[in-house]
Amino acid sequence: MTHLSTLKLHQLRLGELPGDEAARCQAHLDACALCQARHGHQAEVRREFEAMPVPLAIVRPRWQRVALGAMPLLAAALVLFALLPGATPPASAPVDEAAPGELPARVDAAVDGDPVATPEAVAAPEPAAPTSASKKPTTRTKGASIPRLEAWVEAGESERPVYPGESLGAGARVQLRYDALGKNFVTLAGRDSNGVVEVYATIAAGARGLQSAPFAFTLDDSKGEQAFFALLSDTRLDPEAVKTALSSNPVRMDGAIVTSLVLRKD
Amino acid sequence: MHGDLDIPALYRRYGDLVLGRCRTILRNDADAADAMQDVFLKLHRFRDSFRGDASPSTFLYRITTTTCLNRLRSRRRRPEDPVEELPPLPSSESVLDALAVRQLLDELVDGADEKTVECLVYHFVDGMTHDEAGEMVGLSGAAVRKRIATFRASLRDNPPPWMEDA
Repeated sequence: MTHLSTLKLHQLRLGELPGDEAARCQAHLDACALCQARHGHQAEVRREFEAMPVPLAIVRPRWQRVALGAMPLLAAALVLFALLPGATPPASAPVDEAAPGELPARVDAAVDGDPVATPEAVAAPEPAAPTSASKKPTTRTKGASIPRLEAWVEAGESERPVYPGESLGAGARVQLRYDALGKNFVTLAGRDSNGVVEVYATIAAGARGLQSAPFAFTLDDSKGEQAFFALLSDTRLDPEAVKTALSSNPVRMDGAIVTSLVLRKD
Repeated sequence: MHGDLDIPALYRRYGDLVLGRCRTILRNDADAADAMQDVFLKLHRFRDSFRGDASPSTFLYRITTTTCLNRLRSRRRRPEDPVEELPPLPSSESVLDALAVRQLLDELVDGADEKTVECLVYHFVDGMTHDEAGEMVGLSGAAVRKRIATFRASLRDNPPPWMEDA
């Protein structure tokens, strides 16, 4: 008998093999030093895995309960904020971010006719003005990339951008898209209308350009604004630090470029 | 489970399987942790692909393999962002030693198509038979054997000794 495959070793431990096959594999394992070593290695990984914190995005999948509205139709307004200058700052530099309290004002502006109701405009939002609370001077390198965070909604067999002022119903599936701007990590997080912040995932940035988040949100019927954040960083951010930063007013996160968008119901 | 995957439960039961798989292929702790999370987040998106005709462990193993190989390709396309690899492990869940795994993934498979790469990984790294590898990639065992033989013949230098039993 050849060695047990890696998957077979796992399935033997998990009790997923039929009786005769399990007996055959167990007999091989008992007699094979190499497979015993591999089996021992798997047990080490298992112990290590059990000591790891479970990612919040997996414990409580956000897509099952993100809130956008109780009514059949919601008025959803999309606003993109560039909370930092587009020029890449030193990793340790503090960042300029819009205060959470300012989000509704931007939403209102969008609903009232901000000329951002085209996919092109959604893809390249204007950065928000520096907040009064964070009085650090804002500098921008001419021609520098602008942080991008977009929301797309399923439309039949395809997807399209969510437009400012558009009504979305409960059950709509929304996916975030971001441009990591060459940073190594993208942390995606959200803050609901009660101010509760949830960190969904930290993703190693892949190819350059606009990337889709590896998950989607199905909107449920709870009420209030829902803000989404993308934090671009060179190093992996501590989820607890991210929660603290996104709960503060104004938002501050050292070593990260923060961009956000808000979906709001009427 | 079709359409109603209990992802937290799957994570608790199979997380170590996915993590070990990611480490074997990616050989970098941080990248492996990210890939593991990606795999479970993708489960929701691909839930309709799970028809119950394979065990969850097999289904997850396929997704993990594809995810990690795609990451490897992406890593190679971005040589300006080098990833620090783990030192060779003193032990591994692979039937190959760590250096052979690295040789296969980093040196030998360039130019091979994606399905052939998967066949090579399932057979040589995981120790699957041709039939078992075929079930993973949707080919017959004979087709897997032929792909591996063709790949081995394409190597200009002498194939490594561990490839002799293909």
